[in-house]
Amino acid sequence: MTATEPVLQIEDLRVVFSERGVGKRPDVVAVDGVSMSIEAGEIVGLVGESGSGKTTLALATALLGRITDGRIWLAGESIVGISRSRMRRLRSLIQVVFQDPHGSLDPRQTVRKGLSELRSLHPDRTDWVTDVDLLGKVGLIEDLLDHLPHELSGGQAQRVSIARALLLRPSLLVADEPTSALDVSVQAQILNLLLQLRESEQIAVLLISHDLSVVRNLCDRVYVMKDGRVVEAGITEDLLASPSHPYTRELIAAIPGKDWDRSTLGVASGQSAGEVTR
Amino acid sequence: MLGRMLTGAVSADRTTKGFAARNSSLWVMGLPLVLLGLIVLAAPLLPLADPGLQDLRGRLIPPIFLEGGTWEHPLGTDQLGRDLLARIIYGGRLTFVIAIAAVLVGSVFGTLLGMIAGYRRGWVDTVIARIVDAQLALPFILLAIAIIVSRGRSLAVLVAVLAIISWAQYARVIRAEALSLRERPFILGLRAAGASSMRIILRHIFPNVGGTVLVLATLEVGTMILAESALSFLGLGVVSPDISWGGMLAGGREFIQDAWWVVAFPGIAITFVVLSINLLGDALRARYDPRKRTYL
Repeated sequence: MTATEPVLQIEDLRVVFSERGVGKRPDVVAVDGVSMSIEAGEIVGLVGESGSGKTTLALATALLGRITDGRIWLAGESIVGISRSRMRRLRSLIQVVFQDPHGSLDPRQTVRKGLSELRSLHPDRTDWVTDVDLLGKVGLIEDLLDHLPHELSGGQAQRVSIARALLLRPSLLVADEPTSALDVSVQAQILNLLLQLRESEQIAVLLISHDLSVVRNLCDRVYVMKDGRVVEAGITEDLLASPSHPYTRELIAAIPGKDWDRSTLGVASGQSAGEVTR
Repeated sequence: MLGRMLTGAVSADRTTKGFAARNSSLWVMGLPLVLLGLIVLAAPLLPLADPGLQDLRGRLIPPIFLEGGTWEHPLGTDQLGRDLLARIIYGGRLTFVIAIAAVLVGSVFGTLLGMIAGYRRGWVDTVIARIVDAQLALPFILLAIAIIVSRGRSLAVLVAVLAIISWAQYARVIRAEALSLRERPFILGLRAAGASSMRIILRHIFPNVGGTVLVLATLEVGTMILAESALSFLGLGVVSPDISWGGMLAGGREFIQDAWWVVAFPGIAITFVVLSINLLGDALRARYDPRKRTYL
């Protein structure tokens, strides 16, 4: 991959859910012609209300969901018509972190077993980090390795999910509302962790959120989605300072306490995300 | 007991108290079955009469608590003078073996197909789901008669028939669980990491539907005993001299007016076992119910 290629580029992506048979409901166009590109090491926000197609788009970009139409390039390589094994390799370039931290881990598998299973999925690779180093990257101690998911706190489980995602050294992390199931202090820690990882791992992040203040503090660029379409996109500061689409203005108006202060989130306030949590 | 059942019913939640109560109820419900299983297994060691020994002069002797009963035949004898107690205990062996074998075969096939259908979706799902619907729509007696008449009567055929009757139940329930599991983040995460469908189904879906399979299988043992009894009663089941409870019912029904005990005791045995199994299954379900599922 050359430095100039975007890690992910999608063009004119459409996702349509349709039913078959008698008495079917009308088709639902969840994603309607979205184009987007993400450069290496960039944090890109994707905002919109519930049902605007954010998650469907996220799953499609991670090649986990249905794609009705459109083109996708991963690291400059089109995914149309490639072999299965190549697809599996390419797919690991994008990893996902989900909203529900406990749902992201198999309830019957310890942290250690889960990590070694991921390694066993890619027998041809040898560039593995050890479990301890990996947990260190997300600010966890190795004592947690033999814990089952229900023995972890929400914040710990989310860090483990991020660690699992990092193990495969993806170039893009799709984070679908990674903090909305966590309490506020833990939210700030996880967001700080994402910022740190961008620095230490040169990883790009697609951050999906309904919370514009989170996006403002974290993201370089932002896409605003409504009804399956991107209605506005641009550099975060510019877009929030002078929104051109009425929907964006609505979203901005809906933020409580509009006097943003980066320190209120704990982001960039010197609090360390790598701080060990028990 | 009553108090425990009441609290169990009221606090249908995941409190620690509920957990302890559920565990103790498992033991209470399981004990009669364990005892019965031990008796049936140890049958050759017990001081029982030969279950096949006929004594035409001692036909239809009443059980011990009726006039004319003797300790020699505590539950009386049947129309050929065979000891009923011995026949019930020996009959239990075959009944259990058939029921458990049928449940094993049915649950393995049903669970596997259900997981594949639910996880793969698409045309695979459509095909399996339609077969399940068709299977559940067929009256089982009719199907059993057709198969047994064409394939002949044998233990293997009987087990196969019972398994065919039951697999669709597992397939339907497990398909529904797999459908919901496949959208869970941890499954999506594994797919993103490059895990194959086979691995996800066997290593991740199966362990997470295991509790449900266990509950279903337990309940199905009771159903299988009833089905086997019904088939044997119709003369489609176990072949004499092998003994099963259903066969005993069928053999004794002509004498029900003069010697009710010949049918009553096998009937009571079936009722008792099926009831115990259903209670055990309910206790297991309380523990593994997906709606009350805790993380262990």
